[in-house]
Amino acid sequence: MKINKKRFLVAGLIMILGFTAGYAGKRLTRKDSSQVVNTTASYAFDVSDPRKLVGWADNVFFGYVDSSAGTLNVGQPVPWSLYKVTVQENIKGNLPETVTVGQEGGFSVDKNAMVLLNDDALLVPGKEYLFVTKADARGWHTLVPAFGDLPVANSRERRALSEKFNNAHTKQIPYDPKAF
Amino acid sequence: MKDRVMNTSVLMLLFFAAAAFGSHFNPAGSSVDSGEIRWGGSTTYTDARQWATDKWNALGAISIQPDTAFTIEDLTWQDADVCSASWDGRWTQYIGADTVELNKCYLKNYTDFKRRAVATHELGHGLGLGDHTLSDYSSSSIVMYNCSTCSGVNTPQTHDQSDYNSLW
Repeated sequence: MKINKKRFLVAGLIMILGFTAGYAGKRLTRKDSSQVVNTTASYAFDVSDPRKLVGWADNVFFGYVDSSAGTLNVGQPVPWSLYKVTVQENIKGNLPETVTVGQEGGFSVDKNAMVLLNDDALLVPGKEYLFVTKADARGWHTLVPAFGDLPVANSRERRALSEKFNNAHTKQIPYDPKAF
Repeated sequence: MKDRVMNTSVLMLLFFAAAAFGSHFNPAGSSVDSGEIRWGGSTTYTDARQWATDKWNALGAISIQPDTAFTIEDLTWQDADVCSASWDGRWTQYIGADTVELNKCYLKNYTDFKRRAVATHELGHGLGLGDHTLSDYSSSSIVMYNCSTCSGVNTPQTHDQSDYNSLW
């Protein structure tokens, strides 16, 4: 195939346009191409140690998610999703039969996107979870993302979680902001 | 006619190849724009923010500087006060400037060393580095460990630097 000077120049121009389009695409789509906004949080304690997880928490319990209780978009970068939960069994603390559990994440009106904190999937009404929570002054119990909302699929999993977290409760390590 | 079709095909191939190369250059999920992070906002913990900025700037590939009237803000520092939350620092992607939040409920009780660890960790997210757990990295002695104040370090360690260098 013979490419003359004119075609060579046209090819060059098209390549320049291509680079420009790619660069512009990068600038324009870098942050707005996804409908899921990622947010990553650094935990204040070592969540991989159940003794520290339980030691930090006010409450550890099994509960059924009855229904969504709405989403709060209060001008913060991450919305709150609230749920009505029926408490099945208290492991730490003594919650009443029905409580409101708060989860950071949900649909953000501000961002017009779903926001997930540490890839923690939103709670599903009708499912049972092992919850690790701390009381919020606004009247709900905030769960620990990813480590404090463990789904319970069957009775075998429930027994295993119950044993693990009851043991952790007896050996809990209270949260200490001065400790490393 | 055959030559014209071939020429058109070659030109289209060149266009798409060039476009793909241009758009593949910058990894998603960071606050970096054109080789820099311009930050704004305000925080009580300016010492920690400056520490983090200095430590990551020392690695050289990405320039982290305050925003000016002539630049576009990529990252906004701000404080939160959420005592029921289990996090002390948080980076959030946003259509405009991304945000770093420092949770005063924890940081007010932290030593300067730990405040700096949190800020360095969060700015690491701004640079596109992810959280590490003990299951994907055998030691917690990295600033990008998912509990930044558990690691006993507040500067980018060998593994953090390796991640940074492979990204940038």
